Amino acid sequence: MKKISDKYNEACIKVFDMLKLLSNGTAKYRDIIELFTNYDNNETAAANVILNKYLNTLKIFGINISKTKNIYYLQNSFFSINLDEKDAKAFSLLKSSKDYLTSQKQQEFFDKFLRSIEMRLTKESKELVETESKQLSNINSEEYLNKYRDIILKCEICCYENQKLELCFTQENKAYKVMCSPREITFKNGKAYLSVFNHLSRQIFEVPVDLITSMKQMPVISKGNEVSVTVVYKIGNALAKSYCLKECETCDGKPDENGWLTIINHNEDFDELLKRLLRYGSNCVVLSPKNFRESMITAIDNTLKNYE
Amino acid sequence: MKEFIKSNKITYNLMSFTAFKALLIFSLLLEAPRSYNDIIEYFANHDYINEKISIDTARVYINSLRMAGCVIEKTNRAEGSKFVLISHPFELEIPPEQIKVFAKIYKTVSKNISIEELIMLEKFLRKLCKNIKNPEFKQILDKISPLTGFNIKLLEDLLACCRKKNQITIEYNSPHSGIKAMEIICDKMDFESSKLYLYGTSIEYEQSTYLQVGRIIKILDIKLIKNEINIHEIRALYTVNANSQELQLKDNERIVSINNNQTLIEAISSNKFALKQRILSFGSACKVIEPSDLREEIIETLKQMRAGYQS
Repeated sequence: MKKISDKYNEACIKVFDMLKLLSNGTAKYRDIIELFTNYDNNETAAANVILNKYLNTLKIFGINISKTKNIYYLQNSFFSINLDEKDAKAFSLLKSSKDYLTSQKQQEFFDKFLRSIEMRLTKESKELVETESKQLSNINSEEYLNKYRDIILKCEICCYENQKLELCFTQENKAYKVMCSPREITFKNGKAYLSVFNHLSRQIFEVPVDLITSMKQMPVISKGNEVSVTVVYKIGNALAKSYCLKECETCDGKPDENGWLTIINHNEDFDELLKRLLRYGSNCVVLSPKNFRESMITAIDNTLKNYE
Repeated sequence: MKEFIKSNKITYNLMSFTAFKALLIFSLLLEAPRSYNDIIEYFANHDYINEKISIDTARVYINSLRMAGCVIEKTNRAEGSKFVLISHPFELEIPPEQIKVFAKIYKTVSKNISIEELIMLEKFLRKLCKNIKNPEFKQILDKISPLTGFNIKLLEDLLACCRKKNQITIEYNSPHSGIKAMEIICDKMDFESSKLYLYGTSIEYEQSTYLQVGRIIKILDIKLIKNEINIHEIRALYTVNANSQELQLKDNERIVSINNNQTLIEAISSNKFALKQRILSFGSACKVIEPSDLREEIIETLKQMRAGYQS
């Protein structure tokens, strides 16, 4: 006779095994029935009876399972994440943002992520999410995304395939052609940008996708260890005291004898950085690289020319 | 259960009572640690089970849950000999590929929504983290969230003050003068160069101001009646050589006219420093038309900037 410590209920194991299968959100009928056929070598017919018995048990317990085309869908779980109205709104916002993903694979992953949360929500929370989703107009950029979906998708593919790219675009009525490595798609103020590493200038910059005129993939894979040029600049006076380093910046925190603090900036878009540093006025001086220092001087000189 | 028994849709022999009881014990343990007596009492008082089970029977159920993949520990006698559910196979675990996609979406969404929506999303995701087994999700969120490190309650309070345009006194950690009390009439909160700022009117300086929210320690008080302050506003006119559709105007700016890709902008501000910063950020694309003193100050600043590159 078995000791109490060794005894267990087979029904408990069966129902939990079934739930484990279903806890991914979906389970094929074939896989579930196999679970019961394997126990005690049951015939399929008998296994079906057992399956129904456990489905009823779960139903009575409050776990809803639906079946469509031989696939079981777990509608809720033991978990009862309770959302208030604001949480439901936030979840709806996240759901409506799926359009930002252009790759179908990524959309599938995101759907699975959303589903794994959704099935753990309480009934009331699900209703709230449904109401909020109806009220929430789709992301503001829907029209923009629809217009440029193909080019964004093409950029995504280029980033994924990681081949060198001959990129042509127009900006301020000038046409540009650069040899670059695609990095990622970013969205700012509802607009999509292709972030690339320019091999000639060794800098990272972002091109608005709507300005891209052509993209040609080269039969060469981009190296992963492309090192971009770092910009070194110094800041002084009140700015040095209040400055908060950006994620892409480092500083030893020690001001020189005149109170200037040296900042090392990696990977920030040169145009964006130039605009930011211009804002700091005479409290900022670019030290290196030479070309960026020259760009800064040119920007100052050209601005001064405006007033001659 | 009640519904099913009432409507006779199901009979006892069409369900597994043993499995049902195992589910009940599991959900009991999900709620809180339970002793044998708690489980026995629950079964005895349950509307439909209404059955007195022995300690041995309860023990077999606990064994079964363990075999099904639950990690259950028992506290010592002094702590009530209770069974504690440490982990179970149904915890929400987000696979790495889904975390990666979530991070991508979140990075994008957080740059394209209002601060109010961002706070809402942050609170929801933090709530979600508590229900996610693998720590990687929280680690990623900590890394990418622009609100990581902020006191969310303080942000909500500041936002409420902005909505009501409240005059508040805050404790502020100034980089120049250390911790001090400051009075401000709140206007809005927004990100600028990845930093969160509170915009408003400084009572002390009688001009518009912006403070880094990360330096605000707490709200000391909210005034019922706002001070009457005499704000000296500057009206500036400047041209910007850029496509007007590409220009992202500030709240205090408006387009006066557009002529051959040259946009004439009017800006009204009581903060000359902020106005100068804005004008300088346009670089050579911008030229101040009026007022003349602002124009002169910009020229002087540019000359000082140029002098910094002489050595």
